Amino acid sequence: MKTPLFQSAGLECGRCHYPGLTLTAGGLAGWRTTDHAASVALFGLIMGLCPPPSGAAVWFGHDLARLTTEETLGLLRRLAPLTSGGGLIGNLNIGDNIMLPLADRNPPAVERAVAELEEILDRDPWRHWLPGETLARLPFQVTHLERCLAGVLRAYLLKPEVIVSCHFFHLLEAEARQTANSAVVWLREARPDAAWLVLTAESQLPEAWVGNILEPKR
Amino acid sequence: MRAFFQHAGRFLAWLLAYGAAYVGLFLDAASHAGQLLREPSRRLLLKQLYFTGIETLPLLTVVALVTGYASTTALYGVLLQDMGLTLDVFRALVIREASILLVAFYVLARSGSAIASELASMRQSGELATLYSLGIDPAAYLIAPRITALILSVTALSIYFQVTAVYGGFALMSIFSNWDYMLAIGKFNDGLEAGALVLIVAKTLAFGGIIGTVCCQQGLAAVPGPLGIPGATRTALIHSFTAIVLGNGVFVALFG
Repeated sequence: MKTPLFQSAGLECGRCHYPGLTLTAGGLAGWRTTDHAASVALFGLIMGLCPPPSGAAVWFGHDLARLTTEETLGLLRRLAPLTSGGGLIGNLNIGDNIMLPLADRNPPAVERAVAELEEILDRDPWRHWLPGETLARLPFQVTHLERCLAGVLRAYLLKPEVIVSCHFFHLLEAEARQTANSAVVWLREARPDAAWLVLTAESQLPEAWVGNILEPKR
Repeated sequence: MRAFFQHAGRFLAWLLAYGAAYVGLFLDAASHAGQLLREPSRRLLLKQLYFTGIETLPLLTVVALVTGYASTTALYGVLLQDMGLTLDVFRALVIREASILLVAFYVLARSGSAIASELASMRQSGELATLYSLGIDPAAYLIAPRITALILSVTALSIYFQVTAVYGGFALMSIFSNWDYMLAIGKFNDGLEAGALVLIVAKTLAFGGIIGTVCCQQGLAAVPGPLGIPGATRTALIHSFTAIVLGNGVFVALFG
């Protein structure tokens, strides 16, 4: 039984109107944006950071514009964002960044997650992508690709119902983008029940994003 | 005259807007106080206590010793020439007023500015939005630990400063000005009142809360652009400084 997880009744971002879409468990849907299409503003709207001027973002049957901050945060804990650069906090090391949302919402799970993380990083291909010692470094001490990979691991450990990706491959060189794409494919296989909501640029549509990708109207 | 009232009205509106923002943030942080016992807020609280409380100690010890020695020397040697009178004035001026203000300004310059600029930088780089999108409440994770750490640190540092200024300052007086150390300590302790100690603790708690709240609020409200971080830091320092001086005036007016 596939139930709608996210419904957008068409969201206005000033310059572009994004057509509505519905997300179901295990599926992938999203918008392919062009330059200056206010896609970062759209990401803010669908994550409840600000109310949409028109249209609606409905998560799990709840319109974000009608929820309190506490209720919105409760819904967001069922998602995992996957953004360019991993969405890391500058004054926490990579390991603490990966564990931060888990530590906030489920402290007892952190110990198990740390063991699982160490086990993953000891395996191929992760031992080549992200050596274990990287966990002790601060975000500014690692590469953009390593920050993206940390974001993938964080999304994996959160066991989210939905993964929201916003320009994940942005700023990555061709070779690094290949590695990041492999990590995303790994995440899709490792969490097959998670739905994917993707915001991607025209030039950044690798094989990981196979699904219902819509074009916004100017 | 009309222009004066217009300016006064605008100033009052400005004052109320800032006051409401500061009180709102403080209450928001207070409502998340329960989370301070849990990770990751607990770790942030301990880190902030270390940076504000522990790392401040070496230099603050020197400042306290010099303050204790210099003020007793000036009062005794230059002005009063009487130990009992000197200790009374020292207790009323240095211990009840100056030491608390000194520690508050010291913490404001050292940690308040760092908090304001760090939060402003986090806002500019989108880290506050990142926390929110991870389902983490920035008020619980960033603000409550910082305000709590500032309150505890200012209180603990003020007591430490006063103890060091009294015991260390009097020790230096006994070396350089032939004071009877034990007699001075005994006379000083005899003049201490429980009410004054309660007032000192109340003041330090309030000043810590002012520094934490104002600096966090200004950091969170930083505007985008290259002037956002210095602007937030400058406003945080000026508002905190003014609020501490006014708060001290209110304490003196109400409780003497």
